[in-house]
Amino acid sequence: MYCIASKRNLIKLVMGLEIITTSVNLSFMGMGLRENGVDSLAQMYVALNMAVSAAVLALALGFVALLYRHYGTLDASKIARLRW
Amino acid sequence: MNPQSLLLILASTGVVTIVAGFLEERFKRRNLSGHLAFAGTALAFALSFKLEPGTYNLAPGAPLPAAELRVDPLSKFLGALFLAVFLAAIAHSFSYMREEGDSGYYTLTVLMASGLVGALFSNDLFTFFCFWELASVSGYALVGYRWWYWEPAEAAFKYLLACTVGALTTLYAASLLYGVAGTTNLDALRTALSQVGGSRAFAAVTALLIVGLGTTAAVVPFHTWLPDAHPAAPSPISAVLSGVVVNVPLYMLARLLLTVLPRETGVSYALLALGSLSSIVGNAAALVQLDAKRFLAYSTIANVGYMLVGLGACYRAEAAGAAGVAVDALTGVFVQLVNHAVSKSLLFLCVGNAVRETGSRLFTSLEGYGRRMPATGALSLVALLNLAGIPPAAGYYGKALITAGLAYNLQDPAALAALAALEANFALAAGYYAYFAFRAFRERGRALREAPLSMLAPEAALAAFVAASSVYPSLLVEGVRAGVKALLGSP
Repeated sequence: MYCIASKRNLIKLVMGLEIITTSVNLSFMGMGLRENGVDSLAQMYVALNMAVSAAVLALALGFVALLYRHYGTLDASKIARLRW
Repeated sequence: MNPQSLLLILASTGVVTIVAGFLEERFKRRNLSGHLAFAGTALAFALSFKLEPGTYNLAPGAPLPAAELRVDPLSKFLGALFLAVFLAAIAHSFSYMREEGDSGYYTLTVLMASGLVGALFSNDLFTFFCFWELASVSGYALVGYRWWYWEPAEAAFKYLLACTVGALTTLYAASLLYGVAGTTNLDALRTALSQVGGSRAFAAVTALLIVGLGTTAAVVPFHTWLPDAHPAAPSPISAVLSGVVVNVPLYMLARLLLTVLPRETGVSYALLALGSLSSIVGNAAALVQLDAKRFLAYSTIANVGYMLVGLGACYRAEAAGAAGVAVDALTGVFVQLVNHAVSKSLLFLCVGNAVRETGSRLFTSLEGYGRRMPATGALSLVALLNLAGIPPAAGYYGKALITAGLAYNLQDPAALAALAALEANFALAAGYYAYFAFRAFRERGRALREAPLSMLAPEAALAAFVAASSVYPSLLVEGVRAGVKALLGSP
């Protein structure tokens, strides 16, 4: 969350997104912890969430590449023509 | 008829449109994929009336864990409505996207429809998340569809960032609930949580859910993506974004707060505060817009605010034991949702006609479009009347029921403040819709050609729904009320 709020580089923003995904996955793992390993339900959640986040990540990096082509920079404070 | 088949039809339509894309190039047959997408969605729409209420596993042969769908009268009605909006948008795209649209556009639209319908029917938080992400990913791609301009790329990235964080916040709340109850199934959660009872931890989960679903529904401090995404998207997609996408998380929020989670006293205040804030900020920001589609996007935020206020009123009345008032308020929320979905998408499509003709979204260049394009103008007027909620338009009933739900027991200063804010906003919104109509019908602007029939026909269908629900409002209101009663489990 800190990463999303504070970083300016678009790639770092996407990395922040991934960190949040990982933390949610970890939370599922922690919540599914049983005496003999991790609950199968939690494993399924994590596996599916990884697949979903891969799709989002691919699209996000695609947009980053497009933005770089349009603006010639990855600085989020300069890519802010849309206001209000 | 079960919801899995409905989703299967939509998903296979998506695949078919990809194949059709190759055939289009080969045989130089334009819009083949579009027509197929329309046919598939139309089939799903027709079959959605045949859905039978009940719970279904996503894979009936080998039941998957945490993949349950549930059809109840309200979600059945909303599902049919959402598919109708999609149908209108796809039909409108035939002409609107003639130059730019290819099979990918229609594939994404149909996938978005299947994701949204799946999310609407899901009875499990994780299923909801998966379908929601399917819809969102298609939505990001559609907003950024015209990637060769700078604006869609920027708007889509912003949309992606905000909504992914929102969806992940929701999923984090789901993981906490899973930790408490060992399941994410809504019915199982309800029984498990009622045994555990309320505690401070649930306040945190509720807050996470409100923030997460609120971000995807564009509730005010988390709304920043919406006014960028709606104007940047092609007009049929703006119609779908405004008419369907923001409503699904609202429906889910209503279901979670009212039927699953244990009661917290603070929640109704949070909902009233966020709802009032959304309507104030949405309406105030709409006033200063120069871009017609951005103006409509801000008015969507205001409408989400009204619905959230209604939800807060319902929550408050239910906590006080006034079941009748709670049903009234929630009926108001969903009547408002239906009216807003239909008339706002109608208005987006109409403005789309004019935008396509003038090549600009600015008010200054759109001025007078109602006069030069009389059919488009007349259809916009229907939508504007309904949005402003001027009786006898059906929009009036949703607003009246929300007000009635809130006006119950005004001892509470917070409710009084919310009521005052709501009424002021209704008046303000009616004022600027009138101003919009005034500019649209002004004797100015250059000569414009009327939009082709293929764009006017889907708009006329939506307008016919508005007209029918205005002539027979009791049908709409009582239908929604029956669904709401089934949802709340009250007699």
